[in-house]
Amino acid sequence: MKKTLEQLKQKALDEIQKVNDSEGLKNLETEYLGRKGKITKVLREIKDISDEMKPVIGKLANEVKIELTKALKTADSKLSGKSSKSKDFFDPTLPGIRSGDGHLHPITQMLEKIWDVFHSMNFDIVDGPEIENDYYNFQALNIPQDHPARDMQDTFYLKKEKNTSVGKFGELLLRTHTSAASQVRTMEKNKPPLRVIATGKCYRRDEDVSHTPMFHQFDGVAVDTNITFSDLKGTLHYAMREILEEDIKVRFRISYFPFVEPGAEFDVTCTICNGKGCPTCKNTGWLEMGGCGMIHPNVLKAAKYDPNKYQGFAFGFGIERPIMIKHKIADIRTLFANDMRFLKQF
Amino acid sequence: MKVSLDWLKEYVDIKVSPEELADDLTIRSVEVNTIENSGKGLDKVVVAEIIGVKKHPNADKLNLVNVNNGKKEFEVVCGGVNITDKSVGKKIPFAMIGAVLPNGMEMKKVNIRGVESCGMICSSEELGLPKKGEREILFLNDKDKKGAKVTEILGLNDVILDLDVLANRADLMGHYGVAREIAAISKTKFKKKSFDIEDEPKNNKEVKVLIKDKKSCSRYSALVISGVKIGTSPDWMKKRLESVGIRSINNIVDLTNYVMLDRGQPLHAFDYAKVQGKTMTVRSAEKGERVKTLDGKTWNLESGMLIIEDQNRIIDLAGIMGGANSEVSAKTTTIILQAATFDPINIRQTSRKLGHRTDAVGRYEKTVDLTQTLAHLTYAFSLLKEMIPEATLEQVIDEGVWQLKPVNITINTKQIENLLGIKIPKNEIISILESLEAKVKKSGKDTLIVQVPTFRPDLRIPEDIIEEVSRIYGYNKLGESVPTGDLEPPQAPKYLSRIRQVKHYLKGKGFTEVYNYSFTSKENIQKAGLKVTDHIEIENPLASDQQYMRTELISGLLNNTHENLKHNSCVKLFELSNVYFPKPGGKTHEAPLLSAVVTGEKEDGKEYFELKGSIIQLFEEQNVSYKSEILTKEGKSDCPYWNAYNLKKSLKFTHNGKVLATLSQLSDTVSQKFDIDRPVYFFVVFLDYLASLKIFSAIPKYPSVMLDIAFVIEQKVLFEDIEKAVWQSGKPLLTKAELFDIYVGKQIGIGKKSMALHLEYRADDKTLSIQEAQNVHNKIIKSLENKFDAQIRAQ
Repeated sequence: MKKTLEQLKQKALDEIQKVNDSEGLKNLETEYLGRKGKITKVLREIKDISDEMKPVIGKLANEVKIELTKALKTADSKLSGKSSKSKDFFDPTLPGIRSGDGHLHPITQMLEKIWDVFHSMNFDIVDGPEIENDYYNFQALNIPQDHPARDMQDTFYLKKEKNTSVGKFGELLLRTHTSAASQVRTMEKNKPPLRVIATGKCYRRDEDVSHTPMFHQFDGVAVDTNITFSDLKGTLHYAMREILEEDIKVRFRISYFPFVEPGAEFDVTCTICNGKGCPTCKNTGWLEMGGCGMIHPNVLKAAKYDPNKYQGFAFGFGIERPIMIKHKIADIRTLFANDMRFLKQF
Repeated sequence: MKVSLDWLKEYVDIKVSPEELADDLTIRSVEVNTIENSGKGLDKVVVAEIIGVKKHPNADKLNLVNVNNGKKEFEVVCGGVNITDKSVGKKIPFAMIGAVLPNGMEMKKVNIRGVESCGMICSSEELGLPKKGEREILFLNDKDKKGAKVTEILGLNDVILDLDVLANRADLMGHYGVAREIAAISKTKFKKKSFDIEDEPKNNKEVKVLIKDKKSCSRYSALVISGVKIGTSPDWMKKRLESVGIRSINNIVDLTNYVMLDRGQPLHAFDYAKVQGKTMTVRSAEKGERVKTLDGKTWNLESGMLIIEDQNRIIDLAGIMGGANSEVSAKTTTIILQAATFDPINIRQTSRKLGHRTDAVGRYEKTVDLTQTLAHLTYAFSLLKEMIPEATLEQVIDEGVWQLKPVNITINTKQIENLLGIKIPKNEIISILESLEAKVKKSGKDTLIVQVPTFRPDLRIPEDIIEEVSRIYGYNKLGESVPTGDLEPPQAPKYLSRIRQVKHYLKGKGFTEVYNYSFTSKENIQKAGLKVTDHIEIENPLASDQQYMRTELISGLLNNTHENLKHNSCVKLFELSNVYFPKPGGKTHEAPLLSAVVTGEKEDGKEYFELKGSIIQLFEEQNVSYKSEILTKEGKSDCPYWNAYNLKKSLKFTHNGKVLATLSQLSDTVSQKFDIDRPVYFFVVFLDYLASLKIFSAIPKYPSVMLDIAFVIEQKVLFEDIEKAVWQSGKPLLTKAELFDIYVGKQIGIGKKSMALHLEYRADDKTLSIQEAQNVHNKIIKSLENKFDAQIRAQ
C-alpha cells in the first residue's frame, strides 16, 4: 500500500508539471484528491489494514495529500501569472482603502483629557442633573435671592404648570454651572476628605461669538483639614499645562464669586501670541480661563461639613474655551454647527 | 466704570506707568478693561506764533494765516472768527500734518478753495476741551514756548481706565475709593479730603421729609440751598466729566454727577419750587401708580417699588431716576440736594422689573456707605459755593433710623497661614489692613481684632479678611503645591467610562460625533411627529427655536444630516446626550440616550444591516446579552414616537424583557419633513439601561464542538423564526448559532434561498463527544425539515 501511494504521488506530480492550463489542473485535482479521487480512495481503504500499519500509512497518505495540494497550488499560481501579465505590476502609490473614518467631537476629546488629568490627581468624576433647582444652583452656593451675582449668570427657568407650587428647593432651572453638582450635591453624599470634578452641560441666556446658550463646564473641589490656596494654585497650574499641552504660565487675580473666599480669576499665558499681546487676549498676553478660590464657609455649612474643621478649594472652567484656544477657533458657535467638514479635522 | 488718572491724582500720587497701574489693579483690586490715552494723536499739536494774516483770495470767511512753530513757517487756511490782522504775535495750538484730533480727524495737506493748507489752527473743542464759542480759536498764553506740545501745556494727556468693578466692591464706584485702593496696593499715601460746612442753615425755606418705608430707606439726607443760579459748570469740572464720558448739562446736574463719580454716592437735585406742599414722603408704590422720569419715560409701577411723593404727586423713582415734574430747570433758584441710602435689593428688583438701569442703580445695588451721606453733601456744598458764591444753606435734613455698629472681626494669624499655605509676617498683615483703612488691634500673640471701615460692607467674616490680606500681598507670591493626604481610592467612574467606550467604538465604526443644543423648537417637534405637550417648556427662551427641551436626539441628527448632505454623499452621525421629560406634578426626568443615523445609497437596505451589525457588536463589546425581535406597536399604540419608525424595517433589542435599543429605517413621512431625499436608518440606545448592566460570564472550562449546516428554504421564511427553531431544538447544548452565508440564485430555485450556519455545542460539566453534539445537531436538522420544509444540502 505504501508503494501504491508513492507511485500515485510521483505520477500525479509528473502530470501536474506537464499541464499548462488551469482546466487541466482542476481535472487532476478531481482525479487524485476529489471525493472519488485516487488518493481519497486509498485513504478510505486504511480502515481495512492491520492496526499496526494504520498510523504509518495514515501519516504517509496525509503527507502525500498535502504535497499534491501544494503542487497544484504552485502550478496554478504559475499559470495564472502567465495568463494575466498585469499581475506582475503592483502600484504601491494607489490610494489606501479607508474604513471606519469616524471622528469624536472636540468637546468629547477635551472632556476625556480633563477626566484623565484629574483622575491622575486622584479626583473622582461625578455628574449631576442638568435640570436643577434654585437651592442647589444658587442658595446652597451662598447666592441668595436677588444677589447681584445672579446677574452674572442669566438663567433659563422652566415654565411652571398651572397650580403647581414651587417646592422647598425653589424653582426649576437649567443649571448655570456644574458647581451645583460638584460642590453641594457631592459633598452632601460624601464625607471629607474628598476630591471630585464634575463635567457637563450648562446653560446661560447668552449668545455671541464667545457665548452659546448651552456650553460645557468642569468644576472641581478638594476638601480636607489642610487644603490651602497654594494647593489650588499648584493643582490648576499642573492641570492646565496638561490639558492645553503647552508650557503655559498662570496667574491668579482677584475676583468675586459668592461661593469662594478668597476668590480669584485664573488666567494662562495667551497661547496664540505667547504672551506678547494680540487681539485674542486683548493685548494683555493672558487668557481668562475660569474662577476659583477657597470654598466659602457657608457652602461647607450647606453641605453639613464643619467649617471650623474642614477647608477646601473649588474651581470652575468652561470647556469650549480651552478648545478654542488650543485649535484657534474664533467663533464658539462653530462647535455646535455640526458641519462634518469641521468635525472631520478632529 | 471709567476713571481718569488726572482725577485720581487729586487723591494719590501715581508713580508707575498707566500700563503697570492697570496690571496691578487687575491682579489685586479691579479688572481694567481698557486703557485709553486721551492725549494720543495730539503729540503733533504744538504751540505756534501767528506771524501774518491775510484774506483768502477765494473765500470771504477764511483767512490765510502764517504760523511759526519755532522751527519752520507754515501757511494755513483758517476759518476762526477771532483771527484778524491784530492776531499777529498771538500763540495758538497748531495741528501739524500727521496729528490726530480727538474727533478722529487726521491732519493731511488739503486744498481749500484753491489754497493748500499745511495743518490747522485749533479751537478748544477740536482739542477735546470744553467748547468756548462758535468757530473760536483758542489763544494760548503769550509766554508758552513755540514748539512745545499742547498736551503738556493744557494737561491733555489724561489716561482713562475702564474698570469692571466686582459686585462686592461698592467702595470702588468712585474716584475717591479707587484712589484709596491704589494707595493701598502701591504703598503710597492716600490724600484724604474732608469738608466742613461753616454756614449755619438760614431755615427760611424748608421741606418736611417723612420716611414711611423704613426698611427700604434707612437714611435720607438732603440740603435745601437757595440763591442758586443755573448756568454752565467751570471748565475743570466739564473736562473731568467729559473725560469719563458724562455730558455736561448745567452746573447743578454736573455737580450731582461729579460728586457721584468722585465719592460713589448718587445725588439728586429737586427744584424746591416744584415740590408741592413742601413735604416729601418716601414710600412703596401701589400697583398701578405711574411716574414720569427725567428722560421723559413713564413707568407703570408695581407694589413695593420705592418712590418719593410730595403733597400731591409722585416726584421721584427713588434710587433710580428723578421725576420730570420736580426737575431742575433754567428758572430754578432753590434746590433740594439729596443723598439717600436705599435698600440694594429693592432698587435692584425695581430696576430689573422696569428694565431701567442708571448710574445710580449701579451704585445703590452694591450698597452705599450709610455713614457718609452728610459728608458727601458737605463736599457737594463746598463745590457749589465755589461755582455760585451766593448759594445759601437753608436747611439740613437727616432722617432715618440707623445705627452704626462697628464691625469687628477676630482673626488668628495661624488661620491665615493655614488657609493660604504660606506665612505672611504679622507686621505685614497689619500694615496691609491699615492701608485699607481697617483699624487693627493686637490681642494676644497671634490674634488680631480688625475693625472694618464703614465703606466695606463686603468684609464680614475672617475669610474676607484673609482675601484682603492675600490679594494685597499678591496671589502670585503664594506658593504652589498639590493636595496630599489619605483618600479613599477614587471610584472608577463607571457610567462615564461606559460612555467613553461606546463613543470610541462608534468612532471606530466610522461614525462622526455631533453636539446639538438640548433645546428644540415647536417646528422640530412637529416635524418629528411628536407632541409639544410631551416636552418641558422654557419660561424665558433666548430664541423661539430654543423653547423646549428635547426628548429625543433623532430630529437634531436629521437636521445635521440635511445640512451635511449638501457637501457629502453619505452621512454617518451619532450623538450621545441627555434628553428631558416632564413628569406629573411639575417634576422632570432626564436620561442619557445614544442615537445614530446613516444615509443609504440605494433602497437595498445594505446600510440597515451595517447599522444592525454595529449595534450588535456594541452589545457584544459591552458584554451585554440581548434578544432581538421585530418591532410591533404594543401597549400605548398611539405613542407619537412610533411616527419615526418604518415598522416593516425595524427591530427592538431587549435584555430581560426590557428594551435596550431600537433600530429602524426612518419613515418616509418624517424623512420628507426633514427634506432628506434618500433612505435614512437610525438606532436609539437607552444608555442608562445599557450602562446599568455588567454581565461577565466565566471563560468556558470545556471545549466546544463546531458543526455546520446548509439548507434550502422558502425565501419568505424569516431568519428570526429559523433562529428560534434552531435554539428551541438545540437546547441545552447549543451555545452559538451564526449565519455565515445566504444565497439566492437560479440553481436554488425560484422563491428559495440557501442559508448556512455555524453551530457551536458545549457542555458545562464535561468535554462533549462528537456523537453527543451530532445528536443535537440532528434534532435541529429534523426540526428545520419539519417546520419549514428545509432541504438539507450539507451538514
